[in-house]
Amino acid sequence: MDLNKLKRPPAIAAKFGVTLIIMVALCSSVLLLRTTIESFADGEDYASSYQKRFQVVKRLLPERGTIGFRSDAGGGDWFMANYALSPILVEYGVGPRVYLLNVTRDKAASVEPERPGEYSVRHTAGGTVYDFGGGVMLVERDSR
Amino acid sequence: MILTVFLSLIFPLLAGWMVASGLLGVDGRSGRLTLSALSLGLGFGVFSCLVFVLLLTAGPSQKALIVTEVVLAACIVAYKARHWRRYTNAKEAEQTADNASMLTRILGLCFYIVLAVSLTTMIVLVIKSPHGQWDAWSIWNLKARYIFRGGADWRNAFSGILQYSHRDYPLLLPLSVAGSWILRGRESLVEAAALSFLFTFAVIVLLTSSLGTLRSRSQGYVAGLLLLGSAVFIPEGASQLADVPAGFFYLAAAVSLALYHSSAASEGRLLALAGLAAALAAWTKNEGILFLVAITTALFLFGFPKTPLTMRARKMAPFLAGALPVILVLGAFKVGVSGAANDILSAESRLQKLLSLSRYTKVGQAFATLLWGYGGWGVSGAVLLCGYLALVGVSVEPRNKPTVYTLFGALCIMFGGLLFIFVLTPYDLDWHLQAALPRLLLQLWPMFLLTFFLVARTPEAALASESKERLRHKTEEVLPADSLH
Repeated sequence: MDLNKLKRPPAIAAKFGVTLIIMVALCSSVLLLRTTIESFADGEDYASSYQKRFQVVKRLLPERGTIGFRSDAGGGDWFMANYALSPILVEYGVGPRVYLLNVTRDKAASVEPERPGEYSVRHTAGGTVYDFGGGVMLVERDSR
Repeated sequence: MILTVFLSLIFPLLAGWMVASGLLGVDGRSGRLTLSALSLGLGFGVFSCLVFVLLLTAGPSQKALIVTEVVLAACIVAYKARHWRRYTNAKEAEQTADNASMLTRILGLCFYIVLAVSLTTMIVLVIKSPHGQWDAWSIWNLKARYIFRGGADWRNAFSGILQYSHRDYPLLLPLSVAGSWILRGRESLVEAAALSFLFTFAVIVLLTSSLGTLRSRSQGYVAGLLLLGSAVFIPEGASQLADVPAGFFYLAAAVSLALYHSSAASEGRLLALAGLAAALAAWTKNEGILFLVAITTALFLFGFPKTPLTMRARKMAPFLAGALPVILVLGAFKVGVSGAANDILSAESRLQKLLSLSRYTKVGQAFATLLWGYGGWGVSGAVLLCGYLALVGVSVEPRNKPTVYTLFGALCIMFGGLLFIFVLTPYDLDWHLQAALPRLLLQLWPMFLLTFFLVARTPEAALASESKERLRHKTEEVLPADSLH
């Protein structure tokens, strides 16, 4: 086997190699742009929608502290609660006196407010529920 | 708002330019582009270290940060004014003096078309997901928010409640974002997006321009086309994760080493630059620590051929000196702030996993499958690269040989290290491989491309053989065969 040929293939092969890279790069980048633009129709991304969803409760919370969290969705909404409500620490579980309730399946559990951004208040046996609609509720347990 | 964002980013860029120009000093078009790209990454690296030291000493104080930045900038400007030197790269000067060949022009045109398309794609992706992808808002931007919004309670970013955000992860990215917010006095989504945008395009510029200096401008364009054309790179860059910045620092270290080996005097300051970049990779992601170990080991073993061991250790000194300040910052963070053990290294039943052959098989298969199809071109990346090498040929310039061996060695150590990380992982192996492996390979992708194009023959050289052949044929036609003897 002539190793020199392997090291120095004919120029026509090199032309083909360079053209191949150009074509692959052009096609790949145009396809990626097309797919990206098409994906725009999928609607708002997860983080943006949850940022808006949890942002509304912030005005009822103190500037610092720890609240609890309970949800019927996956773990991602808890991460988003911390992201949206920081610097407040959101602990998973209902240990703290105040906790955020995120109900995504049973829409009837939540009462829609009269105007967007507002909330309704109802008193229950154990505490007070601040209902922002859409399944987002802030629960404050009565202090003993 | 744009003006204040620009002003908050100008400090890191200025700091980066000062450091990079002090250590690099290359002239010519490609050299200036390399310097610009390095300035950007190094700038944010230095800035984030500074913000960290400031947090420890004065808390997230806007005034303290501005004063520190201004004093440091003044000191560096004064130093630069006293030690102003200009370096010229003879080869670069020669290249720029010549008119670019038709091939270079065509490749340049194609490169800029693909760059424009990629730029558009990235803008669309950033607008669609302004908070970035999952790990961006659950780890990196989350920490930035807790540090900035927390004020005096900035250490809450490392609270046990946020254990899922990997408290031991290094802080280059969160502190670059939080530091910009501290400088501005308010936060927005622009900084994190701008940072991911800048790092992504800095990788492209660094790869293209450095190969322009080390090999030829056409070689740089082909490498840039391959990087931009791989469907994984731009979406990952827009996702605001730390993998592209980590990849930037791997590449920056590799480029600095290549420039060191190709410089006539093997100047130590280029080794210091390589050390700084490698340490900043460790300050970006935990895998960067593995990279720092890998590149240090590979440099010691292959970077100084035909040199006695004691002399090698001495020659390594500038590299280690460049890395040391950032290693100290990283150590202070790991010991004094994070206080959390690494989830993989502290996992239970490590010995049992290390002795499990099935885990090695599974990880090996995942590596092989991903490497075979890497790039997202629709054709096998391995076939495409091997095919390209077969078509243009192999030609390693003697001055680049130590770099090629060092980078190849570092890549092998990295692959070995990553394999063990997956074997030891406490998470579900299939899930972990699927979630992390593509991003880990992406970190190595720009550095691999640099190594690949240091080995591949340049398009100019490959096509010049045709011109020589044609010239020979013409001579034979004009002159009778006998007259040639």
